[in-house]
Amino acid sequence: MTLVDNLNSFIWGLLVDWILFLGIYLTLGLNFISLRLVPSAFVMWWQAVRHPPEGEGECGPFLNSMAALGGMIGMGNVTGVTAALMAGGPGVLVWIWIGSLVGFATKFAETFLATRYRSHNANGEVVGGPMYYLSQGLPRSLRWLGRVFALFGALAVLGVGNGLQSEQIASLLHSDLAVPPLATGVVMAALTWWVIQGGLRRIGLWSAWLIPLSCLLYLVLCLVLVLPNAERLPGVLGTILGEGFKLKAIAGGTLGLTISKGIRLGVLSNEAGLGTSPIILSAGRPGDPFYQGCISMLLSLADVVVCTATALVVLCCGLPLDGSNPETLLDQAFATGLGGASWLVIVAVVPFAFTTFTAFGYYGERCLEFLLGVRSQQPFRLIWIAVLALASVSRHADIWEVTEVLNSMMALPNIIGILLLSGLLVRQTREQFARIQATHSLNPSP
Amino acid sequence: MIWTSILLAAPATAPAAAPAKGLIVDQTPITALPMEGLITVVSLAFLATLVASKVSIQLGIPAILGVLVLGVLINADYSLLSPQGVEALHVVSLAMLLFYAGLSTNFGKLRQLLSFGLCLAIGGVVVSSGVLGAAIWAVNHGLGQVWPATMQGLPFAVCLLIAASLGSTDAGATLSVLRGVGRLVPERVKYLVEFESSVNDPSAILFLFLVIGLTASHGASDPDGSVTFMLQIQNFIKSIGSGIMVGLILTYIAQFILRSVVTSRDQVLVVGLAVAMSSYGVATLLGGSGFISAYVTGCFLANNIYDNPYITQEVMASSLEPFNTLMELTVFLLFGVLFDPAYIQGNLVAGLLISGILMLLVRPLSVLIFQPLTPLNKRETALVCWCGLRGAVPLALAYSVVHALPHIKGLSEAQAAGMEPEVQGLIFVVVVSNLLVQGLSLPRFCRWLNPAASG
Repeated sequence: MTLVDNLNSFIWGLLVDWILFLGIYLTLGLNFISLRLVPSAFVMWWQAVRHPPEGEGECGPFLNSMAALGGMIGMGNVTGVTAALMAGGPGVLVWIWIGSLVGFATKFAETFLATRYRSHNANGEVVGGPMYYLSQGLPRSLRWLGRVFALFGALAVLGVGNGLQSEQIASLLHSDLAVPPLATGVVMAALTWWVIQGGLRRIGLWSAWLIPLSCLLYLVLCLVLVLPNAERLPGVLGTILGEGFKLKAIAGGTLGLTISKGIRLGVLSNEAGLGTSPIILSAGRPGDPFYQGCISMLLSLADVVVCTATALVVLCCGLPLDGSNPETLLDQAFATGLGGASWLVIVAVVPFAFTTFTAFGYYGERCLEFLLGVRSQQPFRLIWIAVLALASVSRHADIWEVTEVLNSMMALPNIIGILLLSGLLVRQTREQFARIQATHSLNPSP
Repeated sequence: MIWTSILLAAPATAPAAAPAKGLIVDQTPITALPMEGLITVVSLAFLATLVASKVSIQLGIPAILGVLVLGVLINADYSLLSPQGVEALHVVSLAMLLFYAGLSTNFGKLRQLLSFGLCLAIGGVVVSSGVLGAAIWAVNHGLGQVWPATMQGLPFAVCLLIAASLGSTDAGATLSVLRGVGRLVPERVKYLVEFESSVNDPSAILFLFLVIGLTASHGASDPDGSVTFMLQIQNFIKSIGSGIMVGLILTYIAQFILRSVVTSRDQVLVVGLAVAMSSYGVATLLGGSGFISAYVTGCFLANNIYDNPYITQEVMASSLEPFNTLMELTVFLLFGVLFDPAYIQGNLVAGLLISGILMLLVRPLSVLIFQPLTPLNKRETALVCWCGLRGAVPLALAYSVVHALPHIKGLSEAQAAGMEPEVQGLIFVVVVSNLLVQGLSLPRFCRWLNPAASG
């Protein structure tokens, strides 16, 4: 698969820089609103959850945000972070943070635009996402970019949101609890089928139960592991910062690897620039672009917290980072601290994967529907669970590498679209921000 | 500022080598001149550029041509300026020229012409470089006797490099010639020519660098060149994308400075200079094309409105315009000064031939090929075909071509060294003859065509 490897490094060589630049550009263009608004965004979310606003949308603010968070937090936050640490050293964490911080603006922009240009499908459901702002917001000669995004999106999610995760979770359950991989696959597939048949509302309901509980459990477990090693913490933080900004490494080119691993993981984990989570956020209530944009930043923040927790566990346990594969390293890390209770980690992590299946199923469905119409929904769901069940028995199949290439190809039309629409975005966001500052009202418009 | 230091240093070195030609009669080396002498010489040279401009306008040729000729007449020893000095000069001058080209691009006036203008600028560079490259190759192989000895049997790669360096047109030269017949030229043709000239500068530069990258020989580890090829393509795409994005980022930083830091109009020039240079530098450091970045920064800076009461677009333009004039005069004077006229003679016939092909065949072809997209009528198109004056960018890119020659596959070091001055001479002859012929004939052609009358 050297061709795929070449293609992958070719595209990621471009994308890592571009996504970073896009984030910086938007952060500056939005006058740092993306960072200044984080506390207000939390207030906005809390108010919307307590007094759900009226208006159009597939589900209310709480279910909607949890469904999107379910898509964002996946195995990438656990095994992905470990793999990046193994490849790029502790300094990767700094660049995960930086990538996420400038990624806030990108997330805000995507979600804002997706909500601004959301529309209805033939079934009358509210739908949105990059394909809609690409095909409606751009000049006529560039509208085909929307179809390009949808095509790559529909194919890529089969790997990154389904096959890869299924493979990892099945192998984790197999090695730790001796569950046969096929059983994992079939059970997961059946549950996923039932959940996605209920539409965004049911996806949200399940995520709303699973995600807060499993995140809490996971963070508590991480804390239990890190606290006994608290005396190591300053040293670890020093290493992270020192390695991340090591000036000597810039000349040697090794820092480039650290940066690119970190940013790449940051991107894959919070999906800034890939345009996936706006598909869920823009379909919910309220249909206020500014509000949904703010929520997407909160979700990125939650995502980076989980990434950081994993990284601290790996770094504080003191195991060497040059192990064979990330799953084994994580196993050892948790086993050293938790002993016999390390199965609790599985309990926390399985829902991460499950909510990713349902959320990415929704993304793929919407992308395909954009291309082929609503009649493609049921066939796509069948393909989705079939891939899920089959992937559980595969071992590091090369096909997932192909979907990673496709996944990065989604970002290209999206980046072009955001750049071209950034004028409108900046103007409207600044207006609304000025209004908020003048009236001190954080209530979203329906 | 880097630029100022070069501005001072470079012309200062110039007159020293003019023993034969006049300004300084005895053969005093430049370092022996007292400071006062240097300052006098440099300032006299600048005053002379004004006289040269005046004379050329009287003669009906572009002012820059007069300045260029003045530079050649002053004539310095090329070796007096270090290669790094020449490199820095050409990079700085290109970055500034592109920044100003961006500043003078007005999107508002271009509504229906935008897509045609982009095709003309980007597609035109590719088409004209390809066709001209083939023509140079054909002339070189068919009419070997008109070429100097070291230029016999040029590889196609070298022909393409020379053609690519001649890809961009010069708005300033065209518009200065058209000023006399201003009423006859429809506004939209003016905007189109201006827009095309400003966009084809970065596209010609990028295309040239792409050609240089693709024609360079590969290392031993990569015999068939596929890895190098992929890397070159990746670098090319990256330099465009990253250049645009860094340019946009720098625009916001510049806007922030203009809005919140600048306290009086006098400082606008400083901001302009610093922003243009930092845009170039930052983009290049981050793997993008500094020239595109400088262009984009200029473009978006000019097409945005600032909240600062001191700064309007007019202030921005009027502050930078005198600087641009100074820049243009300096660049052309220096290109003239650094050029050794000994190399004109050998390349005269070949240069004139290529210049003729460029004007009569390549330029019309690269305009007419996009005819299906044009909103212009036939007379206007004919005028655009004749508005392809070459200017500063080809002269600056001649240095890039010369730098690239030793790395080209199939050329020995000795061959490349022999070609270097001849290639510069050739490009010089093409640019000068093009400016002379089109500059002199354009007003007459325009009067004869009378495009405004056709509506």
